[in-house]
Amino acid sequence: MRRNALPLLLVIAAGCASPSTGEAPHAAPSSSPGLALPATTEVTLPNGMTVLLVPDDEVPLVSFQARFSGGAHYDGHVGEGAAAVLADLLRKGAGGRDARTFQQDVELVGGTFDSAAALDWIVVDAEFLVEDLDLAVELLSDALTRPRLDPAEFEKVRSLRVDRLKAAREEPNAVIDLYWNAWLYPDDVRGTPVAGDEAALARLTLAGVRRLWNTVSQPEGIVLAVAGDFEVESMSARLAAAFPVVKRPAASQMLPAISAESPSGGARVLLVDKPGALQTYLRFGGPGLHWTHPDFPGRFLANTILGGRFTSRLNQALRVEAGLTYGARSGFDDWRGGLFAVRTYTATDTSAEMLEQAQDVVRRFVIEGMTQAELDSARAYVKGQFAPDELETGAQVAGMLLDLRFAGRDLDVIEGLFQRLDALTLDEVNRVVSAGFPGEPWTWVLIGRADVLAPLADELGEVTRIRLSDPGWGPRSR
Amino acid sequence: MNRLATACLVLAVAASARSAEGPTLDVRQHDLENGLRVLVHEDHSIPNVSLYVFWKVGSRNEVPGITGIAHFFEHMMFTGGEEYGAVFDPTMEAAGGSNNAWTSNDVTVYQDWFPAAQLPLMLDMEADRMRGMVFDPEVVESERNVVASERRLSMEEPGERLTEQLWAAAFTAHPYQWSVLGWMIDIQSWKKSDLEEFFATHYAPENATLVIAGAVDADSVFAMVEKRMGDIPRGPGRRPIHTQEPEQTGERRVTIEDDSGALPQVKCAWHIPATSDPEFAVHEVLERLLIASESSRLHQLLVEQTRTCVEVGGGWQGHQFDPSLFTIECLLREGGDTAAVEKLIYADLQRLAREGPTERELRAARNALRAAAVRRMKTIDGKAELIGETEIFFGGWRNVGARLDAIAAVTVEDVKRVIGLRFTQRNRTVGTLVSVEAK
Repeated sequence: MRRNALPLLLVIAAGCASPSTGEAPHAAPSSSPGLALPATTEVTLPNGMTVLLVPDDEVPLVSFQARFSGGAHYDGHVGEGAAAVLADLLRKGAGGRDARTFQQDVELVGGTFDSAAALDWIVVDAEFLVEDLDLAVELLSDALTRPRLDPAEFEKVRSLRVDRLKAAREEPNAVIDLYWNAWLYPDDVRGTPVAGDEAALARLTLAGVRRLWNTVSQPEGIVLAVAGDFEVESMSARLAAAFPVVKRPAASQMLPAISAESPSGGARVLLVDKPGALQTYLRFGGPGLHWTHPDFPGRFLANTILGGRFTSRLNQALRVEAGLTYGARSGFDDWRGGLFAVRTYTATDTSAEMLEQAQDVVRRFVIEGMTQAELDSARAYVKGQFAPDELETGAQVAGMLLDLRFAGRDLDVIEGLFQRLDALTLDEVNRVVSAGFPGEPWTWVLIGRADVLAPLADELGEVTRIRLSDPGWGPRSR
Repeated sequence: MNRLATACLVLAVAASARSAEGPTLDVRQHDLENGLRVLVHEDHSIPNVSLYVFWKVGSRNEVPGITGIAHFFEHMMFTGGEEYGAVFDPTMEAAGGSNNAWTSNDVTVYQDWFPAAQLPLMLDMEADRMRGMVFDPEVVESERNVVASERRLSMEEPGERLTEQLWAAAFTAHPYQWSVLGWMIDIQSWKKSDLEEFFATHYAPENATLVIAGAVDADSVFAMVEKRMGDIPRGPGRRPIHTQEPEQTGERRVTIEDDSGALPQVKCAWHIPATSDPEFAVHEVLERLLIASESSRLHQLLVEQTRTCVEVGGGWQGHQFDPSLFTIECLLREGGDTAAVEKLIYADLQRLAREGPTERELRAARNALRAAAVRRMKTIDGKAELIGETEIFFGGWRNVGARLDAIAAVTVEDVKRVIGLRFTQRNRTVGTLVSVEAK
């Protein structure tokens, strides 16, 4: 069955009609341009798969992004890292092709084909020139319905992942979020490291990965977004033929409901020792406001001012004025309940100064809020950057549609965003700052030289000390 | 005299037997009397603009004692303009714009992304920092610390430390021998007079190309640029970089002993001609054949078959005005033997020189490069960068199509010839990172 969905996203209407053909005034636009959205078609294939079609003929490419529930959230059933390994295996041989042939056929025509796991889903991404559409759809169908899950490839993928984790430990910036997530969610699937860890990967079995595949691969759970140079009718027919109705064994078990536990905040410090480190890397924060909350637009503007752009208060104070770091940011992790974190680093010998100043910036922001000038600037910035960041290509639109779908949000979040941003007053935004940004006590992860950091960490909260070379990503109960 | 030229580029032609034509890219050119070149591509798909200023100055223009200063300028250019220096970023962001910049051995590139209605303001700001710099000592010290932090972050990665030593060994005369970030002691030591001299010498309009892609009208852009930048005087002229790296006459080796538990690494480098040389297309193809994808030869050999390595990378090293390096860089598995990996690499290169790639391998390499060019056309940002890069490094923006033609023309014999000519032991520098016990 096929139905036309509501018109979906994008393309900012206002301003589009009148390019800067003359000497426009310098004042930032303050009117309230809405988001005019191109027609997007939603189709349910006979096998139960949902397809979102976003035609875009600017360049002769077609991009595909298929997502299905089954990310690291479900690793608990078979072992951490299972979803990541399963995602890799989807492109390591499928249908009539072994791993090498599959990859060679992608590359022969200059295509790209990737697959990866996140916390909540597994994603398969592919992009091909339009002239190679037949091959693209065949490979996509094979990967999503007939992966080989070959034993030799399983061993290769697993051992390569173990080695890559070892290499990642050499770069604290590459692993600090794994510690942070686990430290804030020690008893919850949201703390699960998507990549697993060395020991968990060693315990993983192919039988377990196959069991996960059987559980998560029901076509009804797959949403495929297609963007690019095609006709809606012919693409729908092509996909219906490529994904036929197949009688499948029932899922071996039902997917568990995703829990909604709050992060474990409080004055706790995970101190990760890296002897000889030149720099100290840090995260601090706590439970924040989730994007499903009606105050999301206010949060968007407020975080832009605190740590969401170059002139944010954090970057201004720590980088521009103090020269303590190359960058300081803040943000909310909406796949982990809206967890708020400040992210930065500094030279080992300026760690104390950094800790003090970073806290001071956030403390003052949460207590005092922002100014009218900051609000106006943030609003212009968010609106000015929205089109190139989110809406310029069909693939960007497709990705946003999938994000909305998997977050259980409807299109109004985007369609009405600019109006909601324009309607916010300073008082309202500052109320969101006060309610949606965590105040003290904050929770901390520090990676660096423990001999230097230990006395500083003691002042921040109860310290748990481990070494960067220790297996795993800090103390967790699951 | 001002010249105005219009032309139409056709991308993605004649790569292999395929007949499909790629997208077109219209560019209009306008040269100011002071030497500034302006290139405009109109694209009204979103109401935004991507603006690039390519300055022909990079670490190649430095001398010992002030290494890293070109990169430092990349930072200072956001703070030093007379009118906007103190408010450059706040003004841009309050107008809905954002920016970035990057520095290479050869160029410094400034990027602004903003709503089209703000073009006059953005050109005011670019003109302001093109016109002159004020070096506030406090700002200089703060930015000095920021770039020091950037260097420390980079040096935290064992692979970056090895790369720095590899280039220092491969080049003995040419300024490619030091990294874009520069040596820490130089970062800590340059003076205000060094900064003033560097700006006056290199940040002159004849050394810049302005590229604008987006929802604009080209004639209006040219008029706006003339009004704001037309009276900026030319610079005093600068000495050409005449230093050439002498021919290498034997293998060079460097070793880094690491006690942090890092995985072993080996990086091999060979001297190759500059980006403008007709041979460069062969190196673009070689990168695809050897290392750039999962089915490339060395990935298959080292990661998939012998499973000696975790990752293989490298290739040609950015677009460069002077002869540079082609590298093959391997991250080994724990306890791996770098000598054994080297042996495997050299044996495969010899095989490639003897037998050449298969037609299928060559076709895949060409098609990947052609598709990558099409992908760059998806956004106004990709188009602006492509136009500027082709203008600066490939003999002019009209050569976008010619770049693909050159790749399509690479033959099996070309690959064999270039491997035999360049990838020799005599022309090779090898860096290894080995683990030692902590003291």
